[in-house]
Amino acid sequence: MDSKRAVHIYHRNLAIAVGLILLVFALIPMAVKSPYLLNIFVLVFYMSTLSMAWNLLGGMTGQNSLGHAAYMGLGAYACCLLVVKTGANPWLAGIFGMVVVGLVAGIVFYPCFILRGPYFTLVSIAFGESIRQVIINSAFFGRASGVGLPFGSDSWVHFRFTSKVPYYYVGLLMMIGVYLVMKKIDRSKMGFALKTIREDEDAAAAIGINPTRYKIMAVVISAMVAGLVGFFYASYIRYIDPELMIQAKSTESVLPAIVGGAAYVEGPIIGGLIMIPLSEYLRANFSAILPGINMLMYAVALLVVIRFRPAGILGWYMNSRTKAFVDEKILRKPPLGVLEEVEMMGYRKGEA
Amino acid sequence: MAEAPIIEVKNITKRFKGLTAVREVSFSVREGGITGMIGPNGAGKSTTFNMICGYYPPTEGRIFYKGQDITDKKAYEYTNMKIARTFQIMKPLKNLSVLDNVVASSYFGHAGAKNVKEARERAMEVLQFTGLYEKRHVLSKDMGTPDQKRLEMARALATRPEMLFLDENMAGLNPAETEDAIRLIRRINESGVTILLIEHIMQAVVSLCEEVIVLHHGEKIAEGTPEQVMNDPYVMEVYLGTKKEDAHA
Amino acid sequence: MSMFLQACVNGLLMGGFYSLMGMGQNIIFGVMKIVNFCHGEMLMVGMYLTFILYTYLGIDPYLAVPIVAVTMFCLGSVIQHTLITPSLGTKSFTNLLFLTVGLGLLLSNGALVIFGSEYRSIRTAYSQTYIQLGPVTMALPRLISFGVLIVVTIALFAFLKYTTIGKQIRAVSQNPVGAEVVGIDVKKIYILTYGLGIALAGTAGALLTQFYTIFPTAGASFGFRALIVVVVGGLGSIPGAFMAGIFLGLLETMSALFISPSYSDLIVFMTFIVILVVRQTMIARRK
Repeated sequence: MDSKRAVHIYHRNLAIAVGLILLVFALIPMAVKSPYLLNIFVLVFYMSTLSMAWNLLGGMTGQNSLGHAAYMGLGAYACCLLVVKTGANPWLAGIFGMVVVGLVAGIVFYPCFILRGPYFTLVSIAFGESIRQVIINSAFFGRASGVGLPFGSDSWVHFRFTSKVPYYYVGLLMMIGVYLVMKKIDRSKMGFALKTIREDEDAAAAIGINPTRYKIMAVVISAMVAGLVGFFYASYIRYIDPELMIQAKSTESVLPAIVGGAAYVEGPIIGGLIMIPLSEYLRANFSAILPGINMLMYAVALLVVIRFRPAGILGWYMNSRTKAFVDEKILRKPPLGVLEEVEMMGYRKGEA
Repeated sequence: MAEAPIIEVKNITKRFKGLTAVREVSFSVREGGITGMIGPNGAGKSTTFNMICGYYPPTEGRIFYKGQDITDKKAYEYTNMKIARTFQIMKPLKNLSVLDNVVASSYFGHAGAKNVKEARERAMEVLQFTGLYEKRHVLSKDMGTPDQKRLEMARALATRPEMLFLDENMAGLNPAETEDAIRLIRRINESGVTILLIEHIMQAVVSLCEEVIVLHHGEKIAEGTPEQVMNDPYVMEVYLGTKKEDAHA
Repeated sequence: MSMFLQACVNGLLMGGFYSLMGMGQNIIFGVMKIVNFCHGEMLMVGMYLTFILYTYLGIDPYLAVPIVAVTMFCLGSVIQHTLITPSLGTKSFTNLLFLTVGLGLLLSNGALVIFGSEYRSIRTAYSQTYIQLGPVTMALPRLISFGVLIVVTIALFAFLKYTTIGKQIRAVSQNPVGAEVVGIDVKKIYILTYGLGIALAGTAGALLTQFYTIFPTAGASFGFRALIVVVVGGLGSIPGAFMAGIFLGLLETMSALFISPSYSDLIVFMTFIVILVVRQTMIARRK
């Protein structure tokens, strides 16, 4: 079969598969009416997004932060305070929140980028806790009582709804949007720079990559996306408090990425889709009798993954026979050489 | 040929907390040629190399590239100056494929690719040139030593250097692989790249280098053509006495 | 003035615990180069173990200390052998990091599931005894704990410096490959080291039970302070960990006294960040 046609058929099959999945997700709120179940989806969407934010820094750049809940919290607080104190529009306040978080992260971490590996992680924990402590001690931030968003009727302008359905769609769009951004970064010059830094910082410098510059970019983007999730969370729950930023929440934000496969942009999404519903199911049904059972399960899953499949679920899948089967029989993916050949032809055509 | 030297090193010294690893070493590298640096283990070759490549600064002394003082330049500024290096302890980007390794470096340097298309094309070209094209989809951590060494060079070449520093590229290769490496290095030089290399394998030094610098205990003890150096009595006493056995290893 | 002295003493006594935790963390990091993120949870396990021994077997907490230490040592060894060593091969810091994080999660939630979230405590005949030394009041259990700490520190220091195994441990921490070449069973040393570190954490927990409430996340703040102690005190240095722990305890009480109790955490963390960044910058400059 002609190479170009084979690739064309593969791309078409891929598009159909993705389209089907998106369609299913788009239609779920029509079939599922229970707010409890819809809430689980919303949870998956924003936790996966937060995890993707973490993964830019952790999985792609190799800098493991255990303080990401603080960025989400800071974004939420910046946004809520602006709304409450000045009556600003929540959407704009959300952008403001993202900018604030980005600035704080960039400025604070600028000197911290000398730190590698465990030291970076330790600073991220200390920094996260510090932000939380500042908020607890500050009347401006509402201390431990937190900040509530104003009540009112349903409105897109103010991003508040009684039903969970609009949040479902916004959350889904947010997750997809962030995914596309991360995917773009993954394939770009910056993505390669970050991955090189992750593998070997000295080799990166030898190639011409300024490690500090790229790490800061990664931190700022990662923090801003976390801030975005903070804005979403605040608009959804309508109330935020310092509990949002405790260490346990930071750890929770990382688990979907590790379980799903930190080396892949899709990892956090897969991890989230699998672990979060499971965890919520356990929490809803068993935490009365056995409190903490859901996190216990999460911990066991994490340990099992790290011990036996450190590359995560996706890491296992990418090398599995299942994938080979899916690629060959269902998607009709042509061999790599053919894909490359057609890609190169495309490039040359562009030149002429 | 009285060409200006492309690299000039003036009296560089490196002290590490009480140990003087390199003491007042000076030499120059002719543009367009292949120069070698040899010496017994611990002579200070890698330290000198690392200083010239900006890995760490010399305690004293200055380094010039095409007349410009580059002593204080940071390591990541080198490819912008058209200088590239490889590492003695290989640093493949383990979890990336061979292709991705080279695509990564194609984006950087003075002629960094502007987009994915350019980066991939350049990567393919470099892979063909270094003979790694067939293995381009292999994960770099799964490759054997000779291929990883070639990957080091491929990554360096993708940044389009004029000056290439090779740090013991032939350690651990068998005779056939060494011949391949020698051919590749010659091809790189013929394409217009000046080369400074550290080597232990005398066969490679003799067949490649037009000029050799000998270091011992952190000092330069001889320089000249390979023949001159090999016949220098002090060099023979200090170094080549053991080297003759090594060359057959 | 007397408040100042009291704060000093309090800081000293609490700092002792941070030292103890820091030393255990130090040994583990020094030898295996992994950050044991479940160190705090191990302290908590030690607390619950002591609680069980006291409530169900009537064993006095101080007598329980050796039992707890040995049990925790075994626990640590098993964990090291089954979970950590196999993952060491991947040379992925991320893996090892989240392995210990996962362990911590497992332990704290396990405790939650088994024991529930109620606060528990042990009160013996002498837990309410106070000693007066001039203007300063000290709870007897805290004083005894500090004494135990001193003994343990000296013992540990001597063990590492003078015994054969101690020297082997230090050899492995400096150069695992070299140590193996010389004939040291590196895997065995790893097991020993981790077990020892965990035993120290458990001991700290056992000692704490007399005057600190027991609950599943009791160890969290101690765990993080252990990390601060390791970083500030310098890797591989037992005396360093000892001093850093005391310093940390004093920093806490002093900032509570002179600034405000609710700010003491913040000050501790910020100080830590500053020290860390300054230190690493200096190391980088020296190159």
